Amino acid sequence: MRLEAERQRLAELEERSSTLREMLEAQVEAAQQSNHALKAENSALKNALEAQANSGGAKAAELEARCEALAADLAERMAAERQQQAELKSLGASLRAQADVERETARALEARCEALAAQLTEQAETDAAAAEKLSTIHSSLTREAETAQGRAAKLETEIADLNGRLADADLASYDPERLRKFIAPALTGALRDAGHEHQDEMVSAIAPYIIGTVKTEILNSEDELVEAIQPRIGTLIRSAITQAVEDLNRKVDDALPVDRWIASAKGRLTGAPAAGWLLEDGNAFVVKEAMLIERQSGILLASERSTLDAGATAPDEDLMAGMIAALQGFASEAYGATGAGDLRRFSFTEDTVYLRGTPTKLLALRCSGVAPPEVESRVDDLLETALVRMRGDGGGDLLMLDDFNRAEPVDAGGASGSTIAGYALAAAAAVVALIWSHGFVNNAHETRWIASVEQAIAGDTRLTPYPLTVRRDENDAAIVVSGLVPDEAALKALEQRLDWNASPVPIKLDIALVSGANR
Amino acid sequence: MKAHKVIVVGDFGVGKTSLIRRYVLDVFSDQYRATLGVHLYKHTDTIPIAGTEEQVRLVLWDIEGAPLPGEQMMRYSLGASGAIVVGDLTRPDMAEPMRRAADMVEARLPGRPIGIALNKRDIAPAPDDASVAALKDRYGALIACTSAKTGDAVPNLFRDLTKRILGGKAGTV
Repeated sequence: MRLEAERQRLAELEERSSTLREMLEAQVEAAQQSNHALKAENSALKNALEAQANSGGAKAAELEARCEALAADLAERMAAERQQQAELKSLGASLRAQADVERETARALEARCEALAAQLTEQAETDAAAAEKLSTIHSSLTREAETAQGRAAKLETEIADLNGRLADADLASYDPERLRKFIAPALTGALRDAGHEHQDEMVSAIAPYIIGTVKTEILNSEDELVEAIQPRIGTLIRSAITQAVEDLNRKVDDALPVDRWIASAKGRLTGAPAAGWLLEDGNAFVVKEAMLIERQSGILLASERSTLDAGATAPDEDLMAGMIAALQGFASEAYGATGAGDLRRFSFTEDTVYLRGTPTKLLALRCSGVAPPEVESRVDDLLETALVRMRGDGGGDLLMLDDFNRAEPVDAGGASGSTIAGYALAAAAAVVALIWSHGFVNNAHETRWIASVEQAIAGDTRLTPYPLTVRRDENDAAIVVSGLVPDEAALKALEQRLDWNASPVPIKLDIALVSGANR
Repeated sequence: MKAHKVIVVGDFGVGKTSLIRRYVLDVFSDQYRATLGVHLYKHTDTIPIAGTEEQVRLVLWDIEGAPLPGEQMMRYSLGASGAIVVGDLTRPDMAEPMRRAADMVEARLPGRPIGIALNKRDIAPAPDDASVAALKDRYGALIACTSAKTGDAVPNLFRDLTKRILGGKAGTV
């Protein structure tokens, strides 16, 4: 059995051996085939390498040349590097030397610092001792100050107490500042009570001071005041002389030749200004141009040119204004700064320039022809008119020169053509003129009434020191009296003196009393 | 249209009258005629200000160059809205008379604008920047190197001064 098993095992081995043999033979054959393929490949590679070797000859020469160039460049760079290294070595040596010096300096400084520190330490020890001493003194002084403050507070309380007693005992002998503070709260009420209960005494006590103050203010503002009241003064003077001039005119008219009446009638009938007819007939007086000028700068503030002078060559008004201001300056300088040296008239080519001035303004009238005797006073009037109109709305003409020229009584210089027809024409013209001038007559009445109100004020000497003005209010068509009077009694007296019913226009009072009330 | 008074001051012969005549009449004459006392010129100009064109009337007071008594100079300068101080670039001592005139204007017309004309630029070099800056700093003035002969910078100086008078801004011409 064992043998049988061995035989079976041997058979299996033989079978396995045979299988292996077959496998080996197959592998050998495959290896041989692979060997052949490799040989063929090797041969192909050899051929390719040989071909490559043939073409690489040229490239190798080129590469060799480049290698040589690179080698030369490298050698050059290395030489530069070497030189740089040498320089760096030299620099390093120099820096080392400098570092040595620095180190030496640092050592010296360190030594000095140490010495100074020692010195400071010593000083600090000394100062600490001094500070301790000072602190002791400070504490002592603080204690003393506190004690003194306590005493001062106590003394202050005592002083306040004493002051209070003094104030109660005698206010008049007390400190004025304290007295003012003490009295001030009560003063307003006291004055009000005194005003109610002792009005007359209050007025008589306070009025002189108010008037004194007003007078001082007037003195301080003299120029402005002169300018402001000039028209009023003019009105007063004018009202006084108007009547006399009218009487005189009437008498003169009776004796005058008829030329003026004829011219006036021609004017009324044709619509042309009478002055134009007279200018044609004779050398009539005409105001050609009016200029209101700022005295200081010579700047023209307003101007008006008569239609009678229209078209004629005239000097430039701005330049003329400047020239007049400069001339007035020369005159004032030459004759003194009192105002008495003002130039009043000068000739300019064929014209005469009349000048009137306030401290700040100048009125210049360029006129031609033979001046009537009253020309100076008429120019005064015109200055007032111009100032009043300038204070108004500023609209319209400065002086309404054409009206002025038309109304200006002119002496044509002799009689001519005194015929019956002329007299008849003149009489007719006079009637027309009378009707036409009705408005002017009304104005004259109002002017007289203003004068009569002013006379009523001037008649009471109590009112003399008080500012009161009378003016005509164009808007309300009334005469307005405004200003200040001392008391109710003075106001009543004034009211009684005014003849209310006789006035052509209403009279209005805008008056304040010194005692405080208003009317 | 409001009128403004402008005074023109400076030493004699510096060209005050020529500058004014160039501005007002656009003319120039080589012949020198001294101004005695004062001479007045009027010129209406249109000044661009705040985006609008404003018409303004200038009355130019050409004042004698010789030294005048203080009272007389005061009368001439009263009420002026501005002043132009004129100097002559050809004179080595130009600065001192200009300074005197400008100081006078400052004293008599405080707060009023001043224009400074360095005249005769056509025959003299422009001054150094430092001198111009010094004048500008001292007087806050408009400064122009002008030539009345050629008209260079003349209208601009007067117009810029007028702008300042009217309240506008104007720099160095």
